[in-house]
Parts: sequence; C-alpha cells; structure tokens
Amino acid sequence: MNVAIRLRRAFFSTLVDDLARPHAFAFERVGWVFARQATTHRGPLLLPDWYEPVNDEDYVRDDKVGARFGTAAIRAALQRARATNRSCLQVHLHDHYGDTQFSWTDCKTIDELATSFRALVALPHGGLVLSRDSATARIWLPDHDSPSSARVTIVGFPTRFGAEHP
Amino acid sequence: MTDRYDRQSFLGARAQEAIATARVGIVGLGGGGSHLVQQLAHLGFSHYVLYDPDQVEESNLNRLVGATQTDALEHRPKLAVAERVLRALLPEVEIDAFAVRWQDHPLPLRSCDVIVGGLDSLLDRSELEVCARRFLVPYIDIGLGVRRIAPEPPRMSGQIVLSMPGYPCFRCIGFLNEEDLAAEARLYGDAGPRPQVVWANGLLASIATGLVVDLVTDWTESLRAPVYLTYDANSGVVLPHPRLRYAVNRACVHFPDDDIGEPTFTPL
Repeated sequence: MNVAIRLRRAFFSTLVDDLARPHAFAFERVGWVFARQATTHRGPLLLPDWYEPVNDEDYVRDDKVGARFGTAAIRAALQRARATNRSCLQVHLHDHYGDTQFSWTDCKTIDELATSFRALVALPHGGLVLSRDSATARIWLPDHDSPSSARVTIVGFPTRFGAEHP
Repeated sequence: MTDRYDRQSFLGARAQEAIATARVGIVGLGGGGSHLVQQLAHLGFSHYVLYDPDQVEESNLNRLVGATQTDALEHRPKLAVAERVLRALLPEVEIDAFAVRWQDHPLPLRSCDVIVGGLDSLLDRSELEVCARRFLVPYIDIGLGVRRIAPEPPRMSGQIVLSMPGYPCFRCIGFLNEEDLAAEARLYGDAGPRPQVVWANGLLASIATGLVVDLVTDWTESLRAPVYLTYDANSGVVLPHPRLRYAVNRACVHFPDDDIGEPTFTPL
C-alpha cells in the first residue's frame, strides 16, 4: 500500500533549521513530527503539522551513533501521539542537498520505535529523514508486518518529490 | 522514444523525473481541460485523476480538443475523449477517471500533487479550493467569460489563479468574495449559453500548463508566490492582477495552518 506524506515548505524549513543546530555532544539532532491522517483512494495520507525537538538534556553520549536519546524523549512523543491522535515520525537531517535515504541504523531504530508506538496508538508511525531540500519516509501501518511504500512531497514554491521508500 | 523529451531537457536534469512522478488532477474536461490533457501528455505527465460527468455534444465541437463529430453523435463521455488523447501519446499512462462531480467522490483528488480546475461556477471553485487546502494540494483555476454591454463589442476576459497552501487564497486576493457568490446563487439555473472559444481556452490552459511544469521542476527558479493573471482577450494581453500585490505578503486568514486533514466536528 502506498503512503503519501505531504508537508508545507514552511514547515519543512522549520524542521531543517532546527535539526541543523549543533548539539553540545551529539553529532546530529533528532525530533518528532506529528501528523494528521487522511485517506485517498490509493492509501493513507499523512499531513504533518506539529514538530517537537528532542530536548538537549535528553540526548545520551554515544560515539557509535549520530544521536542517542533517552526514554524520557520517547515517552513524551508517545504521550503526544496518544493525546492528539496523531501519527508520530522520528525525524533527523542528513546535511546535504538532493535525494536522501535511510541508513541501516536509521531503519533499525525507526522499526523498533514504530512497532512499539503502533502497539499503543494504532496509527501509522515511522521515521522521516530530510536533506536540505528533500525528504523520504519509512512508515509502518497498523497490522502490517513490513514498512509500506511511502513518498514525501514538499508542497510549496517549488513542490518537491522525495524518493519513494522502501 | 529515448529522445522524445530532448527538446525540453532545458527544464532541468531531474525535470522529466518530476514530471513523470507528479499526479495531476483535472476537474472539468471541457474547453480548458481538454487542452490541459493534451499538453500535459505531450510533456510526459503520466498520472492523472480526471473528473467530468458530461458527454460530448455538438455544441462542444467548437473547442473540445480531441473530440470528433462521431463523439458528438454517439454522446461519448468527455472522459473517454481525454483518455483516448492521453493513451495515444502515453500507452502506459495511469488514469483514474470519474464521470461524476468531484464533490460526489472527492477522495481521489486528495492523492493529487496539483489540481487544475476548469469549472463554470464560483461556488465550485470555492469548494474545490477548500478541498485542496485541507489536503495540501496546489490548485490552479482557469476561467473565461464574455460580457456584452451595448453598444460596445463583446469583451472577453479570463483568469489563471494559483492557490498554494500556506499562502494567500482566492478570497485573500479578491478572486472570490461573498457578494459574487451570493449573486451567482441568485442566478442559479440561469447560467445562459456560457460563451467559450478555442483560442482563449487554449491560451489559458497553456499558461496553466506552464505553471504546473514550473511548480514541479522549478525550471525558472522564479515562481515563489501565488499567481493571479488576467487575460484581456480583446487585446490579447495577459497581466498580473493589481489586487495580488496587496495580498501577497499577508498570511491567509481563511485557511489557518492547522486546518488540514479530515474535517472534524466537536460536539458542543
């Protein structure tokens, strides 16, 4: 099933600007995007409309990965997803231009988070990775045993299509 | 086949990929919509959502691109004509076609990356903009009209308007307003013959096609704000509407940023 994710360019710019800020020790920043759900005749449509960065103090030192965060950040994200009945996508930035893709570590982290989020909030969840001008998503639908094909569109001037994943 | 798009390669290294990826919704396959279908197909747009409940009539043949005398005699659906034009150029094209008013089956429109409307009424435009805004789809409207104020010759004019989520809407820029909608409602059922001509439809559709291409390829690197163009067909001039300059830097008050997705109702 195809999942479409559509976000305004202004919202996308907010994400990039925030995630590009340096952190005291983490190599990259992480945040959470919360999305409303809708339906098209071809599958689910996610419309992100809220962003929460992971708080500085919730990062954990770990030189083996770009960023690691503690359970408080996950609990807060889960709580918001549940309270607002929104899909939750973990988001981070790959600091380059053009199409981008998930690393093996990204996929592993997102798969673990999304499957546990689904158990408590029966909605699509997953991850979003941005470049400076594009984005791609990895989405788990409720009751699916693998990620669904997803495509991100940045709506605005110009409108940009990210690479389909997986 | 490999060099089909060579002459438009100046649009950018990734332009053809974007064109082939984009899903275009066309609401109304009459004078304007039929030109759009033909031009978008030539460009290589390969995914369509089409709406038109009407059949080809003899009176359409003065402007309906792709339609034939036989289509009118057989009252062939306008959708079938559009599909024939598309498949003749792009055998693998993906078409979701609906012979209904879009309001009766709106879900497919939400899947579009851009919608172009060739609608007759202001109310239809208003409703389509609400749908496009809720699901974050850019919407381009084209329209044409003729006014006759004796003893002057007829004045034919049209417009091309782009409504982009997050930017000023049709109401913000003065294209739609409550007075005109109310006036239209009072004339319900008395629309008259709706004068239309092929060259004016073609010009408006061509400009709209150019906007679609620019939107998804960014080839001009200059389309950065809503568009409201007026066409004076008597003089053959297209100009930006003066109202646009007053609205372009203002936030839209009619479609708040958080008013997206499925409509919800909160019990009182």
